Amino acid sequence: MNCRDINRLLIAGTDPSAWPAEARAHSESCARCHDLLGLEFASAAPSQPAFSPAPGGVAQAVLKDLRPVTPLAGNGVLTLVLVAAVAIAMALLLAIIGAKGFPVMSNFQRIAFGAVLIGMLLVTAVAYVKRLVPGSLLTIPVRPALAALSTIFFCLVAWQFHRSYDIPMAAANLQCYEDGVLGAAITFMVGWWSGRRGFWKGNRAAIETLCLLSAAAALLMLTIHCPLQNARHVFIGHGGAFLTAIAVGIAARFYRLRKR
Amino acid sequence: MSEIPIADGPMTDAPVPLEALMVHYQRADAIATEKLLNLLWPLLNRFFLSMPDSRSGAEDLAQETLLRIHKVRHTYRPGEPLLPWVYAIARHVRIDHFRRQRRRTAHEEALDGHELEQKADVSGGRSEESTGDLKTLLAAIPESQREVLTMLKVLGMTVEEVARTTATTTGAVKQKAHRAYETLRKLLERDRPPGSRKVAAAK
Repeated sequence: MNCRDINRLLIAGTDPSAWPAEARAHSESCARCHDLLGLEFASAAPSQPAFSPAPGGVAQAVLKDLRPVTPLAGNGVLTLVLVAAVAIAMALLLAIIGAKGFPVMSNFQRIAFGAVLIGMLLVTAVAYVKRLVPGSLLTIPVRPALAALSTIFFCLVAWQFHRSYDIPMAAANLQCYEDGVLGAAITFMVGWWSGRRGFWKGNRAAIETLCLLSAAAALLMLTIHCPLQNARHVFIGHGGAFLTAIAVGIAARFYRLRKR
Repeated sequence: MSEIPIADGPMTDAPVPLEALMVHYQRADAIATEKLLNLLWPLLNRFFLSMPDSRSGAEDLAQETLLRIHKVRHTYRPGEPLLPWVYAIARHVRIDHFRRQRRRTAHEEALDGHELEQKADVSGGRSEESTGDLKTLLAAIPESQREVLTMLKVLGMTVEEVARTTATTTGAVKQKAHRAYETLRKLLERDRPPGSRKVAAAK
């Protein structure tokens, strides 16, 4: 038994009298844990009556505006609608700018890149839908999951894409960057439209997660669109658009809070 | 999702769970709505009073939360626990309040050239000098850890309820609580008189 085990018991909310003998022995011998257990957290609770009526003004305002509402659809339905809307938007964009990337890939590349990118899209879409509903339980931490999947993606790129092309790469990088940012912007609008009935006011986490979804969709769209199998190009052009969308999301969430 | 017994007709005076009242509220039942507002009012007051940075305007924030709940009542899904949904909305109201206060303070600072007040003072908390005072200790730990610890220990919420309220995973909640306890241990050790430290070490 050590202090971390005592933390676990405290977090689980078990009563110290019901703790195992080793835990009780540790809390008595360890001065740090002994002091911590001595804190009366309940004393910080405000003394409030169990029942007191809400102010008349608020109750009246609510009752005056009372009309039936239809609850939001389930997470599964919302995610399906969102992914379908994003897929349609990306398909339309690809119909305009061309889908030349997938035909030049090997089967392994199609499966590997497809799995990672679809995984990114689904993780962010599920997280976004949950952000729109207050009190939802997140099961996958979206930022670490996206970081892990994007690391796998760029490692695959570094491993698989070694071709060189006799074209001005700077222009190609810029073109893909612009296409990616356009794709991310379209995804953002489609995502906002799909989730417009959700909880938005003051919900910057939803904006951030929508930007992460846009970044994932942009990367998927660029992988299908771009035929250049050059790692540096993908890092700069595709990765640039991906990181721009993520940066916009993080800035939207934290900018004002940190501004002095 | 658990099933909630919901009568088709209007509400009666019999005690009904909050979730069932919410479903009636979504159906525009005036009696259920009033009952629910009256039940949520003390809970919201308690929520805001327990957080140092929302203590000063707890009643206003509770009122604002009730109005916001009314606007987004369609985002509650029957069968889901109600209180994490309510507290999640209250938490957004609290964050908005904190942002507004930061902006106002920054504006005043620009006008007066005064130093930005300490966060605890901005939020209406009083400076408490006594070491070992729980409120002082809680004020000394980072905001995200303090929020989790307050919800767990002061408001008596479960880890899952805190995760739902703060829109994170249960793992993240546990990690923050762990860190909060470690910070509290360090603060308590620092505040302990040197003599007693030796005694404790000898034990």
